[in-house]
Amino acid sequence: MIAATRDFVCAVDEVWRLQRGTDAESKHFQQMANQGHYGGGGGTRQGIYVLTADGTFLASSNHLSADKALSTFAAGLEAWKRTTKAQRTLPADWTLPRKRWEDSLPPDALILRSWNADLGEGAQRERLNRDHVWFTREEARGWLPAKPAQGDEHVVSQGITERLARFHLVDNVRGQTLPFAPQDVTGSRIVTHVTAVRDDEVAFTIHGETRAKTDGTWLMGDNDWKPTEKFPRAVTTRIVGRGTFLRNKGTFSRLEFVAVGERTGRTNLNGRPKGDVGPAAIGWVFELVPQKPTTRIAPAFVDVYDAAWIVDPR
Amino acid sequence: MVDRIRLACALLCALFAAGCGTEPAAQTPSADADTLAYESARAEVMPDEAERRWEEIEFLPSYAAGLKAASDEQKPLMLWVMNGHPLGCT
Repeated sequence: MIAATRDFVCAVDEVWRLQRGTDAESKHFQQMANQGHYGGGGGTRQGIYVLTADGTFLASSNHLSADKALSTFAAGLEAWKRTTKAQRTLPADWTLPRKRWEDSLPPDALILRSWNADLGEGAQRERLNRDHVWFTREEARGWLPAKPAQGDEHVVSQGITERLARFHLVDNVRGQTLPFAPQDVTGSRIVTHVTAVRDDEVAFTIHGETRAKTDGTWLMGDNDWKPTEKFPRAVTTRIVGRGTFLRNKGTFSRLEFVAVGERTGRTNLNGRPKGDVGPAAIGWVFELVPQKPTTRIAPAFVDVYDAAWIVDPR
Repeated sequence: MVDRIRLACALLCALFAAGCGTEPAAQTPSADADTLAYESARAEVMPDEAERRWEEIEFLPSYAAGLKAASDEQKPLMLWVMNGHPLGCT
């Protein structure tokens, strides 16, 4: 599969905006995708597409099978042979796409990549998910006291704890889910302990617990996530981790923690069948990743992130 | 289900080295216990190397970036789109 992709330029994107948007980039995608496996009717356009730069559709599919994907690649390459140089080239009047959520992220912001999965014997390990957590440089300072010294114990800022509990410690193992409202998060606390200060480096540990619970009443207003019915659910976790802060740079060279806990309930989005509502074990890993195009990916709940510095591009 | 709960409890106990149901913030577990808890839980959650090989594919992170590169390189574009960004949460 990896070798087969070398015949292509490979790109990925979020389809929700592309299939509904009215900007030039979305229209470009829609005229192409409407010729694909889902046709021109309503509904999703998820899948794999092979196309030329001018938007000429060559092949497509949406299937979990690697063999099906390889067949799509082969069909696309065969069709590519019949395309012209003009089709392979962006139109001269191509305009830059509109702004994206990622444009809000400051270059010195902190990005954590999360992975989460069901735990325990019998857990279906074929599914896991990941997401990205955003903190500005200023927000990230909430992990530690202003002037950290060995032995310090520091309650992590409420903003950090709430962001994790509301938007990231959620059951999206099998697919996107719903966030928690601020009122749903109670009794959550994360604490850092400064274990060593050597020259520029501040080493610390992370411990904590989070609790988020809702009876399903939607408290987050009108937005794309608002469900049409109630989905009672809860997530409780315990957290352990470690980090290293560089005082001179004001940045973190290490920040990693795990959260292990229990999930109950399901949502309309997350692919849990009604027989899989728990309580059941679930876990997350959060790790600092460097900023680069493939890590500057907006969090799933970026549109409701409650961060004033995020500019809605819509 | 019982197995999952049992495992979760075992991991949680390992996390805080003092049994389930206690207040973690009030404790300062030893560095060894922290490391053991972190590493064991991480191993449970993370995909193995084989499951992460798809990350070797040099995906560009947007449709627009893909179109530009396909035009510049005169190659077909393979585009993977999902509800949720495929490099993030889908």
